[in-house]
Amino acid sequence: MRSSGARWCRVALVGMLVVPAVLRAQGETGTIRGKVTNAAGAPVPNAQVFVANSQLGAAAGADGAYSIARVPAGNATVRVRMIGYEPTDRQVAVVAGQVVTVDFTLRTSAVSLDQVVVTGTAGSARKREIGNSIGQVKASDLPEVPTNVSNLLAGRVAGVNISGGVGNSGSGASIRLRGATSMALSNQPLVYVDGVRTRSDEYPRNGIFQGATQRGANAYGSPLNDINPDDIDRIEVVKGAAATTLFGTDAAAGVIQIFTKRGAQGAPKWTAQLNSGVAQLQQFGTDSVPLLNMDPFVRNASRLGAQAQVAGGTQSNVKYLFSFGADNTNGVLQLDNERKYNLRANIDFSPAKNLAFSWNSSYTNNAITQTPAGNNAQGVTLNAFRQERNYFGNANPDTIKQVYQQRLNSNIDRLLLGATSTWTPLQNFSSRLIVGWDRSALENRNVRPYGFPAAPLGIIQNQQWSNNILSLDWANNLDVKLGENSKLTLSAGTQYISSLVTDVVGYSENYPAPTEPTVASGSLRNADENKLKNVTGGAFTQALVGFKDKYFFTVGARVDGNSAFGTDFGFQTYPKASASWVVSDEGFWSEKLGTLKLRGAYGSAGRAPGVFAAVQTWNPVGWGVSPAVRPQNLGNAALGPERTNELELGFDQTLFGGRFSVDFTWFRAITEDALMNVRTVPSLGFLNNTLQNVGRLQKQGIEAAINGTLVDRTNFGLTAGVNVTTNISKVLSLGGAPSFTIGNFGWVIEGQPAPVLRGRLIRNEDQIGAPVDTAVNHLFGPSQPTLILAPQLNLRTWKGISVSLRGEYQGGAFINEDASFQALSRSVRWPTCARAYAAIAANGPLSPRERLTCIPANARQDMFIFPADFFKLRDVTVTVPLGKFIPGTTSSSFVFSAQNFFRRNYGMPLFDPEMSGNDGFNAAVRYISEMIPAPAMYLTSLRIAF
Amino acid sequence: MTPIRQVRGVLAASLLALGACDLTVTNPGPVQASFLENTAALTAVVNGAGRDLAEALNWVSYTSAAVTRELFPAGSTAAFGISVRQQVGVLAIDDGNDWWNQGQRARWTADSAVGRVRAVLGTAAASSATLAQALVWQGYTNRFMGENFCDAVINGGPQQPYTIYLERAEAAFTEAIAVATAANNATLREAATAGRASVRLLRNNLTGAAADAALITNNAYAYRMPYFTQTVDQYNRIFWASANQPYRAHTVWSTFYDAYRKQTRDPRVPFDSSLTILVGDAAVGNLGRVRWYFQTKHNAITSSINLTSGWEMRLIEAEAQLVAGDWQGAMTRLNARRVALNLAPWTAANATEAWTHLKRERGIELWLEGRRLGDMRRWAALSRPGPTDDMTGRSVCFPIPLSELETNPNLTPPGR
Repeated sequence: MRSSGARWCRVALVGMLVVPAVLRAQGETGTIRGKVTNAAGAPVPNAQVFVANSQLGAAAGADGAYSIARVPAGNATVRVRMIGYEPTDRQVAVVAGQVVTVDFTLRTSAVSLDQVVVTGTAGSARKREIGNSIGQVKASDLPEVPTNVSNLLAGRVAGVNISGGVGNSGSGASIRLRGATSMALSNQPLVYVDGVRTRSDEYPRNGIFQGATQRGANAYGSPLNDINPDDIDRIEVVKGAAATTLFGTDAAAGVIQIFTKRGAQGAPKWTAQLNSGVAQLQQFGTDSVPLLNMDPFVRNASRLGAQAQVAGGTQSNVKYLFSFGADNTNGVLQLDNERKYNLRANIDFSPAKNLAFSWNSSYTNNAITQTPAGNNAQGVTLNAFRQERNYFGNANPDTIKQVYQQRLNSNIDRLLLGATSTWTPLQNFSSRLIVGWDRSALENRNVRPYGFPAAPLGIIQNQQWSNNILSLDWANNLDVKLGENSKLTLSAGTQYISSLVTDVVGYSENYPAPTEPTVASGSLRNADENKLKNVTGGAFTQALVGFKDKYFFTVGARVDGNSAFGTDFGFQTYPKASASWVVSDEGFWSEKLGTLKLRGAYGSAGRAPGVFAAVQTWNPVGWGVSPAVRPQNLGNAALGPERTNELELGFDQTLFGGRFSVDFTWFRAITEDALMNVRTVPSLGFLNNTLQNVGRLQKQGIEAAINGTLVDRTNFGLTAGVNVTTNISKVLSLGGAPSFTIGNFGWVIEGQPAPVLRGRLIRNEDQIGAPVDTAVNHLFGPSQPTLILAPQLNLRTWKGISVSLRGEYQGGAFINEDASFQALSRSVRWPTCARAYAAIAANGPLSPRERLTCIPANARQDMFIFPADFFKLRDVTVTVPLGKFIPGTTSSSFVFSAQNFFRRNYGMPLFDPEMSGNDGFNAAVRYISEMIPAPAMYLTSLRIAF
Repeated sequence: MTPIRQVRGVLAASLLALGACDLTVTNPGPVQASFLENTAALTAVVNGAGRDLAEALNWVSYTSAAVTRELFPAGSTAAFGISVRQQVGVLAIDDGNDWWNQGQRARWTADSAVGRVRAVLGTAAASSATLAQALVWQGYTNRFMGENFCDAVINGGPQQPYTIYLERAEAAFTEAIAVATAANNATLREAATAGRASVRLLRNNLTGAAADAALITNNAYAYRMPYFTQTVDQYNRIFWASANQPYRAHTVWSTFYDAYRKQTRDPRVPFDSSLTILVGDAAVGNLGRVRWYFQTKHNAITSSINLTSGWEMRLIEAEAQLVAGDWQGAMTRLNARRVALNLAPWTAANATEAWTHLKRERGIELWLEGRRLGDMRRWAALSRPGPTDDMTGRSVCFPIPLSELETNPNLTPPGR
């Protein structure tokens, strides 16, 4: 139920958008135009060119050209800003009615201290002012053909780990910033798009709400992948509590801010892309059974897509960007398909000198068709893996393909709206209000027709699910000059976020005849409904003091309130403090030593428990047609939010004129009152786990981004880099509570990684003929990687043809591979036992692992915990600039990108350690079930600018 | 308006707006415990106890049937299947928690229902059919726990002998008889009386058991646990696990009842076979695929399971006579059912043979009702003569699983 107060709150805040303002005066003007190129003479598209102290500007086109009209006559400073390049200013005299040409040649800078980032304050800040690390990905710097936002981020930013993807159409991936922060709540970072809070948790899978819930593809979609990667200008990754304080409640797992492209003043610039490609499942079995018997059920799957974009600005201070994308991607499973349409309109408008409006809107429609798969007795993967021991008792592909009769269709409608007003009534004061609306609406339709082998009279389910998020973000900035060398920036603001999830399921069985069914067709009907609303309100204040533009100190705090069922946790306060020192601006610093900034930050962020967690509840389960209740949640009146405090220290250094850079961070985060799903004592009646504030968790590690331009000549350039991430987690205390499991062999044990994989170790597993030597309850190690190395290489050659490589190694994690156990315990002849079967036939000796796993009666589920270490080549991309080769274009390029085509496991004999199981990518501990890994993709793109 | 005034105005408006922000939210859905503290909610509370027992009984009846050779595994090992270790008769602490968890929830819910009904109704409870029903569920749940589990744990307490459950069951039935009598509810009084007879047998109080049994004079009497079509959890699990679509996880093939039924056509152990589907749904150990003979005692999703019956009472009386040394009288009593069914009566030349027939007759009469495990343990503990189905190396009760061992501070999990 919504209170009238909340409604008034929204109306009042929205009303502030229409504050009257003073119209600007107009005078005589001229035009500035020119071309932006890099040191090698290549154009720098999308470089921001603007006139200082005005709102006039333009973005360079694909050919590097720009044009700024209506510049008041007189002397002006023209500035160019482009991530990866040193900011450059030029003085110019503008004559009324004339055109003046100003060309820019930008110098490369891997880490620029004057690069602008957004940090949660009202305005943006220069990197030199910020005490914490912020990862940044500039879309125009990414060479490969983008497929989705998750893939785009993989291996790109130190401290960011993307995993859990599987090979089904429509499946997403998990994102962990600095590993897992919470043992009980979602570890997906918050996602903001153009300042608007959006859904970051997975979509519900297309399964069944009761009984055998896994009757579907068992793959989960990610809302992040609704965002058209071609619309993205840049992504900022704010990793830990030290940096996310001002984002408030739920920001402990980090924040991803996506900024989409915008128009710039000037004539319309058209760009288009034609994408095509093919996906191919790579080996995930043994050499002799490379696809674990999936060969008859997979295909080389085609992809075809097109993108079009137009951006520009009118003479009347209106800037616009419209884009359209269409993509049709088949999946490697034979029924899999994803058909996606994206529309975007971004409009900027300045009705007055001191008032600017921005309107961002995007709509995505995504129709997904899936093949039944996963740990599902009626799925293709399980039945193919298990051959004649499957649920058909028959390995014949035509028999197994009877499961194809099940139809799994999902339709996602995603509407994302954001309106921003920036009001600058005083030169030193600005006020920004963002009103955001994110609506994701999903229909999952799951049909087993009349005559389906395992449900001969048919079963149908239709799920209508939606999540509406309203966000208001009001922030104010006041700059105060404190004497000659000092300045103070005061920021204060409020946020209001209201999220409503509604979920209605209709289900029925037993159609009367072989009809095309609706839920009304079945004679046995059932339904379900869930409705969850969560409201967060908060306010922040921050003071940034700068001295001599090289010493910066920031203090701030955020106060948050959060709704909960029957309980108000009160307002929580999260403080922060950070400092930075630009050492290289000191007189004693030699220019040969490049630039150096030292930084440190400390901050807190919190997570609130779920809406029903605090009180004892009973589940209305019914019994036949009679009412009945059963214990559901034991409740915990003392429940409160968990709180993560983080300290990070680091430095940003560039050497050799910006050609070599290091961005290094050490962090330590401690979560107090950590929320955990503690198992209840069954004899106390409540079987569901109970959320409790238990103990303290710690994670610490380093993140280093090392990049260098090794060669930078006109026709040859070579840059190389590596991101290094370490992350060691530990349960510092459980406050006297006993150790407990959080599923999939993940345990929370004092002194151990959080969580640690616990199972049966076969000590002498490979010693053929040796007696079996095992250790039960062995602690293998963490579920999250402790070391990630992500190397990348970019080679620019003749005519600007470039080749780039991006790889990633992850090590230190362990995972339970359950698919092998499930097969082996059912006497399936499994490829890892090929030698054992031959040995048994010849009465030869077995190794302990063979004895324990290849003889079905010996197999135990806890014997299949393996290191999840691997190396992958994320992509190899060749870009060929075509210049004006295509008539009628200003420039074009051709891109070939091979993605995810090479993987090597270190320890796990089968599958891809990055995969997830039926629980999806947001499980507390991932495991591997009867899924296929994400396939390799070979993609081409023709990019044209008009 | 000057810019300064504009700033002031906006700040004031914003503060006003913020003051009106309300973060209070009430979400629909789950029932708060406090909502149950009224008369109208008691039916749902007591039904909850019944449903919880129904589910627990569903699981244990099925799995214990495999362990005691009432059924033979035919394939599936997960979901509606029989695990690899259960297939060879082993009930292990680390081979699933559902049997214990559901049984304990049923026990706790019944205890809770009795307490809540008493609290809400006050003195009126003593003659309330609602309380009588709650007590009947409490009695049957504790009997169920005492018959099938190796140890007792009450509400997070220490490990105790399983006989604690039986003591609690008898106390609940005794009170239920009194309350049902006061409420003038014959159905519940008989359900409690028959239940107490079976519990007294389990507690080796043969005289008391026979006395209660004698009060149930109608041989056709039965108090049944119902199953429903509404959700899969409410299906009769034994039926559903071998309903072909989707599972063929067990078979009567290779059990005593396979040959017995073929020989006698005894309608109490019915099963059938398919002309087109010959084998179970997966391989079983080293046997590979086995013949699929599906039981038809529970022949629908909604088949009920007897909690007690008049014919069970006759067998209790027979067993009391056997213990008392009247084996001839016992044979007459246990053959009464066979005579009624036109089956050849068992013949015995001595007490040992009479025990053999009693054990077999209970097996046939109570087939697939979740009672065999308790009989096996009871007879073994009392060294009753006569062979039973070979239970060598097989479990006779469900142990306390890891879910309780690892969470209950009064217990010690393995390896600690």
